[in-house]
Amino acid sequence: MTERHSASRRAQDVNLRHILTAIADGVVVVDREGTVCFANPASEALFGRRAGELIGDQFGFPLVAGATTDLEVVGRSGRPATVEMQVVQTIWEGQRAWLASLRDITERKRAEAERAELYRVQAAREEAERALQARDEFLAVAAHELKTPLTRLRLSTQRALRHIERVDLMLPVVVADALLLVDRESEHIDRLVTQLLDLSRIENGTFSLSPAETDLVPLVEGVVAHLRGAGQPELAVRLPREPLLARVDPRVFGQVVASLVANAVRYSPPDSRVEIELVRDDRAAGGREARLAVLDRAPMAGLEYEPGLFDRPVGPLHSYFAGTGIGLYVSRRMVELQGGRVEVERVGGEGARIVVAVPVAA
Amino acid sequence: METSRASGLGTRRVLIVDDDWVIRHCIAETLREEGYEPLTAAHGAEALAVLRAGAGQPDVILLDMHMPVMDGWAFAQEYRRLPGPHAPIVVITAAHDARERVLEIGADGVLPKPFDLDQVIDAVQRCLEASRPG
Repeated sequence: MTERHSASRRAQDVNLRHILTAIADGVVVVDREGTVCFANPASEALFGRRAGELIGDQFGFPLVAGATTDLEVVGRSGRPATVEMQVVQTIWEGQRAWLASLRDITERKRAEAERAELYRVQAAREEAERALQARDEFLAVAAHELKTPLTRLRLSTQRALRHIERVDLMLPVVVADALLLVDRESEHIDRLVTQLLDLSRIENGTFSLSPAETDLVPLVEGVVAHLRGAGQPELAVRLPREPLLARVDPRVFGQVVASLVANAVRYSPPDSRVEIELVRDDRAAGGREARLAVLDRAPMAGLEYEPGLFDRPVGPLHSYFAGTGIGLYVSRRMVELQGGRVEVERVGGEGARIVVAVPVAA
Repeated sequence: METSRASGLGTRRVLIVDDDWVIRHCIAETLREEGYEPLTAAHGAEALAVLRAGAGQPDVILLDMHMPVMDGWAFAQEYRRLPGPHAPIVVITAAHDARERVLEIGADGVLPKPFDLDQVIDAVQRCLEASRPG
């Protein structure tokens, strides 16, 4: 009876050992003194030691029944690995013992870390986008708030200038010059404010265009005529004799021309010449196009017209106003939105030629 | 510049409705110099009072949209309820979608802020030419 019983018990033990040998998880049995009394083949791979070496040795990791812990181990390949260990109490060869089942979770941990990193990068990107959006909204509100005081400034100055002209008043040069300067600079601020609003709309995708077949000749002529002024560089314009029709938003295209010419005027010496040329090119690589070139002799050209001049200004807000960044970027985007392109080239190291090309209508 | 651009047709009246004194004053005085007769009001309700006072019906109305007491939308609605004929309305606005305002109240023109005095004169003239019979 007892023999039969112990025979069946041995058979069970053999079965158990078969199972433990076959399963993918590592299994280690540790007695009450902390000595390893069994280690299956899967655990060999985890600890980088053979079962024979593990058995009889101290296990070395704290064992708490019912607990799951992560162990950092060095596997057979010498690479660090993370092993998840679950411990239960058991009876092993008639003695109380701990049975630790061990699973290599290195891959899972790596995937988790990757996911966390991905999440972190995405969160950072969203945060940056939110910050950009907040900035654009701020710019839009600020620009809007500036419009009414700017209107008051412009109307008052213009009224004073008209009055002087009407009554043929002789003013000291310093006063007349100051009034003209206020008038011109308020127009410049007006342009900047409009550009800020346009920029925020271009960036958030709400900038709308109303394209129409437009004769560019009178449009360019009108814009340039408006920008002529005493004590400024001469504006030399060459226009085609025939109408030059392009499908553009006339208001927006006029804004681009005004921005580029005003910029050239602003950065050129008063006694220099800014050349503006509008031509039709029927043999352009990308199809027939209208090309507007603005050539200036700005002495700073070598420094100002760097590659990236037409890129989105990314620096802090003050750099928007430090130079020409915002106007040129907005101009480029406006031209691109109308199927055209903007190119810039330095001319002999002392000036720049900016070319705006748009497809002609027919 | 002493000759009136509006001469030969009788003096044309322009009603300027804007809560901003500087804007209202500059426009009114410039139009006066150009030979128009300006009428002014600081908000919609005052404009309706001016119209009822019988100072003469305006030929063009320049209308700011955001005003205290009665804004441009409410004024346009009230004005159109009065017996006609109605003068063309030119909207004064700082809104980026200025053309939206035109559609909203069925205006005849728009002066998007900031604008020039020349643009004011042009807008008034265009309205008068468009509404001239024949």
